[in-house]
Amino acid sequence: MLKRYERTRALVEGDPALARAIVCEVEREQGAEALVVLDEPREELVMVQARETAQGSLFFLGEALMTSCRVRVGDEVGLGLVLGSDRCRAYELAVVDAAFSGADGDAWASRWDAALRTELARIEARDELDARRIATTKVDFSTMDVLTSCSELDGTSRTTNGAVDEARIKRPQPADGGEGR
Amino acid sequence: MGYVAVRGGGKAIEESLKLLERERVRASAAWSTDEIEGTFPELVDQVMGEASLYAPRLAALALKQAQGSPDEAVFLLRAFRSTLERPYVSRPVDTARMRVARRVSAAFKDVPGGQVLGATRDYSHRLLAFDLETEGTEELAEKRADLEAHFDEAVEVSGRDGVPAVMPRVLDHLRAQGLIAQVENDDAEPVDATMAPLSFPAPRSVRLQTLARGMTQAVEALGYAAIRGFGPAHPTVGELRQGRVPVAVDHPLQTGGPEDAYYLGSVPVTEVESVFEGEDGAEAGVGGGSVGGGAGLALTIGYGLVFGRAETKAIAMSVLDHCLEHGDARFPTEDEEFVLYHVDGVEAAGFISHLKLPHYVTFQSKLSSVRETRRVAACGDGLDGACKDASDGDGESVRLDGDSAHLAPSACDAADPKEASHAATL
Repeated sequence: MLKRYERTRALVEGDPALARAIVCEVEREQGAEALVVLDEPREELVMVQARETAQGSLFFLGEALMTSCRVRVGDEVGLGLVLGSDRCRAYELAVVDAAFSGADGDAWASRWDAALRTELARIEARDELDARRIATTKVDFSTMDVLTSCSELDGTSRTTNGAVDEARIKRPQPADGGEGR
Repeated sequence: MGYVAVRGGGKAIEESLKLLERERVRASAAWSTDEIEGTFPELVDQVMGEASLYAPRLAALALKQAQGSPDEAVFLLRAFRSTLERPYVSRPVDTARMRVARRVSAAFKDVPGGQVLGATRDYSHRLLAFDLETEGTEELAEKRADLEAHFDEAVEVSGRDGVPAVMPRVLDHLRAQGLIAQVENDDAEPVDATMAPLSFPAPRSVRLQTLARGMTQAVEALGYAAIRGFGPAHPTVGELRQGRVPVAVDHPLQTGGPEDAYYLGSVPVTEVESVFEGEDGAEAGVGGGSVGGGAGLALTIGYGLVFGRAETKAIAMSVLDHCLEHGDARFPTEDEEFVLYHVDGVEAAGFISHLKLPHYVTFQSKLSSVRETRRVAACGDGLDGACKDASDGDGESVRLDGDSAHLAPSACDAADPKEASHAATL
C-alpha cells in the first residue's frame, strides 16, 4: 500500500479529479456530521531547507507559499498541505489524509491504491516525456570533425556508446620523434 | 540641536500616487499575472530568488504593481511574506535527486549522464529578433505547434534513451578518487537569517542563505570581482544542474521516515559546485569538501544554490562561498561583513533610496559644521576681514564660499513656503 509521501505526490501532481473523487466518497460514506473543518484553508509559508554538498551542512534556501487545511473525519485529524494558493486542494488533501490515517485507513487505502498508482504512473510518463525532450539536447562529442580526423590519423577505436576513448588518441609524431620540443 | 517637526505634503503624496497609477494604467495592456509569468519567467525567478519566497503568481503580481521594477517587486514580496505565519520547515531538499532540465560540467567532457544543455542561450547569437516585434497570437500558436511536432519527432527518433531520472553528480568521480573529501552529513540546526540581524562571524548557514537571497547583480558583481583579483579565486564549474526538487514536510506530531512525509509540490532550483585548487594542505584545511592535510595540492568546493534559473547568480554564489570560507580579510570579497551586508537588495535599495527623502535637519547640521570650520580657519589665518564677514550671518558666509547655490537647500528648510521662496531669491 502506498505510504503518505507517494499518496500525496499522486494527489498534488496528478489529476485534481482524483482527490475530488476520494473526498466525494468520504463525505458520502462518513456523513456530513463526521467531517469537521478544524482550520479553514489558509495561506502560510514553508521554509525550504537544503543540504549543501561542500560540507554536508544544512541551510535555509528560502520560503515557499503554501496553503494548509486541517479537518477531522470521525476521530482522526487530517492535514492538507500544498504549495501555492489552492484552497480546495488543501481541503481535499486534508480529508484524504484523515480518512487514510483513521481506523478505516487500510480499507480506504486498499480501495484507492490502484487509482493512486495509475496516477503515479501517469506522472512518471509525463516526466519521462519531458526527460526525453531534454535528452535531445545531450551533447554528442563524438560527432566533432576534429576528433574524427584525429582518430582517422591514428586509428583510435570508439567505445560502444560512440564516445572516443581519449586515452588512445595520440598526436601524430613528427619523423624525428619530436622529443624536447 | 533639536528636531523641528514639520507637517505637510499629505495632499501632494496622494496626488503623486494617483499620478503613478495614471502612468501605470495609461500604457498598460491589462496583462494578467499568467501572461507576465509566461512572458518573463526569468524575471519572475529573479524576483522570487531575491525575495526568498517561491510564489510565481505573487511575484508576477508584484512585478505588475511595481511596473517592472525588480527592486520594488522584491520589496513588495518581502513585505507580504512578513504577514504570513511559517509553521513548517521542509525536510532537507536532496538535490542529488533533482529532476534535471539541464546539467553541464566545465571540468570534464565525458560525464556520467552526459552534458545535457537543456534550454539555454549559452550558444546563441545575441542578435535582436525583430520578428518578435510583430509576433501575434496566431503566429505564436503556429510556432508552438511546429515546435511540439519537432520534439515529438525528435523524441521518437531518440527512443527511450532519455535523461536518467537521477543524474549522478559529476564530482562524485573526484570524491571516489579521494581528490575531494567525502563529507559526512552535518545535521546541525541551521540558523535562519530572517530571524536575527547579521552578526559576525556568521554561521555557514546564514552565509549561504544570505547569498541565495542576495540581489542577483550584486552577487554576480562581487563574484566577478573575486575572480578578477579582489580575491584569489578562480573556479572551474564542476557541475551546474538545474531542475525541480520536491518539497516535503514531516507530520507535525508523528515521527516517521521520508515515506511518511507530506509531498507539497516541487520548486525549480539551480545548483553549482565549483572546484578551486588550493596551494597546500593549509588551503585545503579551510572549509570542507577538501582533502590534502599538507599532502600537496588539494581541491575544494564552493557551493551555490538558488531558486529558479539564476545560473550566473548560482555560479557567483559558489565563488563567494569559497571566498568567505577562506576569509582572508585583505580581500574585500573574503570579508563577511563586506559581502553579506551589501548583497541584500532590500537593504541596499532601501538605504540608497532613502537618501532622497527629506534630510533637512541633518543637512542643516552639516552646513553649520562647514561654516564653523571655515570661520575658524579664516580667523586662524589672520584674515580679520574674513573672520568678521563669516560671523556676520548666513548670507555672508555663503558669499565667502563663492557658491550661491548653497543657499537653495537651506532655503528648502524653511517651514513657511513664503519664507522659503524669499530665501531662494536671495
